[in-house]
Amino acid sequence: MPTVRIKLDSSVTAFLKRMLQGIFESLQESGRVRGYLPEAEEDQEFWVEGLRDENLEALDTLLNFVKSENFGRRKVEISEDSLFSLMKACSCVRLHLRETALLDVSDEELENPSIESVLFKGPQSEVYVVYSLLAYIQSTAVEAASRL
Amino acid sequence: MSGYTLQDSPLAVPVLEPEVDKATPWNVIVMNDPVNLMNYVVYVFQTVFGYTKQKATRHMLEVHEQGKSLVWSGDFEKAEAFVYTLQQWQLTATLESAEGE
Repeated sequence: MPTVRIKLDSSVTAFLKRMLQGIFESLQESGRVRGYLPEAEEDQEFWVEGLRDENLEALDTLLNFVKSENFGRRKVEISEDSLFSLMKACSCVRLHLRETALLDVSDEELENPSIESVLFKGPQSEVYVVYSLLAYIQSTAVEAASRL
Repeated sequence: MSGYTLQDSPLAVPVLEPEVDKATPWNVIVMNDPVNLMNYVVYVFQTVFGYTKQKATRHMLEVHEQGKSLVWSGDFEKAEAFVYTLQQWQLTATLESAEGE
């Protein structure tokens, strides 16, 4: 079974759990589609609901991963399917944060973050930290998946 | 793509149905976004299309540098299924008729 090891201070882990719980609650009803949608109305419904269900399942996997006992300290065992869901959930939350709390941050700053980005964003700083931590988790998950 | 057709039986309730030319080759296009990580996008292309790392990286760089990349071309049903899968992976994917190129 694949393993993912995320090294984080316990205070950061607690912070991430708290923040993610809040973000998930705001994401529950989100069924945003980026790109193509079928033309027929009934197909659109099917399409959007399917993606929303998939997102909720992925978010659940991410939350369980972060809440697992070894998260932040030791390797966490995860099934291959859950590893895929974990990667998808990281993108899902990051996209949501970019389209909400980080809406006024420039693309350049998001693609090339600096320490100033975290320190001088005022109320956005916590969100920015979550955004960056999820990138770290996703990169580590991609590395684990690439070893399969 | 063309417009709509109306069922013209006097007993039938007119139903608007989208008309899609499924015979035409269709292009799956992935658009750039500032969020998804480069190594993640490469991994998605490898996983979804079975591309080599080299080919997946080429498409990822095209998305990053040119704003979009044509990642697959073929029949409508398969192209639509690929778009759905790419959206499941949180990429911005669209479908375009190859005729319009």
